[in-house]
Amino acid sequence: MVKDPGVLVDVSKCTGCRGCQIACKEWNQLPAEKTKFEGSYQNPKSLSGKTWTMVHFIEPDDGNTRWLFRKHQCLHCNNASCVKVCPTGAARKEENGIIRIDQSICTGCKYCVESCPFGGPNFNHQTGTAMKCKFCLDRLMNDMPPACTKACLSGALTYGNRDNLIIMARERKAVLEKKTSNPIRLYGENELKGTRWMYLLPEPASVYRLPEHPRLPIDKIALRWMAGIIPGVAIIWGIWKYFTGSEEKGKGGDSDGTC
Amino acid sequence: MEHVNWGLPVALDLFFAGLGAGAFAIAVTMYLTRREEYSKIANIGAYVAPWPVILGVILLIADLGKPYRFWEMVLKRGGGLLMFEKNSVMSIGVWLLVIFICISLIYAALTLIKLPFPTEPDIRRKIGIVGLVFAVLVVVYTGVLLSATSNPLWRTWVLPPIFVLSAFTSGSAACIFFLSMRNDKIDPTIPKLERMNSNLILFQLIAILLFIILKLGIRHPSEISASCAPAMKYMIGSGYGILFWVGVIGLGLIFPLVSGIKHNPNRKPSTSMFIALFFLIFGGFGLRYIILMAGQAIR
Repeated sequence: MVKDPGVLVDVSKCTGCRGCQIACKEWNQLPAEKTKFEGSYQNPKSLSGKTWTMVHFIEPDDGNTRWLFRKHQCLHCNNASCVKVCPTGAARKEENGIIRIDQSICTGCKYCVESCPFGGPNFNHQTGTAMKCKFCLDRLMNDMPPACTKACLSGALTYGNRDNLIIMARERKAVLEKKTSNPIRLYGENELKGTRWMYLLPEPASVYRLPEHPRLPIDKIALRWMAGIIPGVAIIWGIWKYFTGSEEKGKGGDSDGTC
Repeated sequence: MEHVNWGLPVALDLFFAGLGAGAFAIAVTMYLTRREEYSKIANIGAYVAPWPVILGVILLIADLGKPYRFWEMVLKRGGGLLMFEKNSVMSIGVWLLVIFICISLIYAALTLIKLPFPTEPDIRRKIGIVGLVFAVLVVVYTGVLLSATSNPLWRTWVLPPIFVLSAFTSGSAACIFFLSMRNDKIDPTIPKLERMNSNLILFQLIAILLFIILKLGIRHPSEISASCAPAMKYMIGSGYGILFWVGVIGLGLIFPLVSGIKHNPNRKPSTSMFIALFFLIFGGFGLRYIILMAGQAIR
């Protein structure tokens, strides 16, 4: 098995054939879903508990007719939101860094679904649990690449050691930058302490429907607790003051308890 | 309709947890004043508090994908050790709810029965103070849970204060409701509680206004949708606009503010007062429901 596995997605090579989408469904034996076309040709609209990878079909609304594609799935962050917020420890990082949701422990509380900045995990109504890309861990264990990368015809997906992929990405970045005037971003190199799926993006991340600066949902969590505790304590203090004060005094002094 | 991850049961849980803990906090504070004239409200609040929270937890368990596995949030599988994830607001919340329910039940029992030995009021006071801490934390947790996600609408520090203010108004409204139901005369504490409520309502209106302004104005580059404005526009406009402005702001906050304040202490509880209380309580639910649903409709 490749040590420190990763996948580099070169979106400039993607043709939008959706072979990865099918390969994922087949290998993981995921049932079909009734879906609708979104925009013009994108289908499905988003990931789901039964669709762990999909291709975004992006038609930017800026006057220049372009058709951009980006394969989407769980990015397997080193600092993963789902692992952080999971109340039962079902979402966890395996030894090789792959993020997996243990289906035998998941209670289906859907907190990871609401917390992921990439929409990676999704609720599966059939199993009652949250599900997402598991990096084809079973294939990796048997020295096979993930099903989607195996199916990719255009060379947009490269599976390998993450450090090697970063070196490869820098070379490819130099080539692409000669062709276009846009700066090329290697998305996932440092985001959330590095993600295992990385993207070479010739346009801003938001164009590719990725958050420009992904953050953990529990960032600045102390501030959020304090934003609630301070008014809570102030209200109780205000009630105390108001109800223990004399009737005349109470009438005037009731309003300052809550600020 | 688009499927939602957290729907009606979660909205009800956030609401009931706030209502019960809010009522508990008010009841204990009244008891701690050691004044005889507040003893009725202190007792009513103590009896009312645990049940909505218990109901909320039952709804929360029922909403799980695997309800029969709920115990895995409390106990580690196999080992029998306690399950606690310090980074997970959900895990913290589960424990806060469990502890609060236990304390509030003990407190209600102490309020109901007279212990044979003479330490009774002291024990009730001590348990009340500990419970007060957990009541505040339960109320705050309902807001922090939503704000500690990647949802563009929920992710803000304004949400916890809004939920805290709303929990105290609906908690005290529930106390007033039950107090008035049993008596044919208005309890002398009610005008005071209502005056307190009108202040809380005013602060709540300010906090909600701040929430709207922050979300309409500030760009969050970390969210996929690049801006929180579409979700907020859906909440106050195209999606839940009527429910929000008429239901939550109009009937749930401004109507009780205008109607419920002036009560002659010697008058009987009037129908209009009960209507105002009803709207005040369910406005708190409507607020949580709308925030929850609008946040998931637009991403």
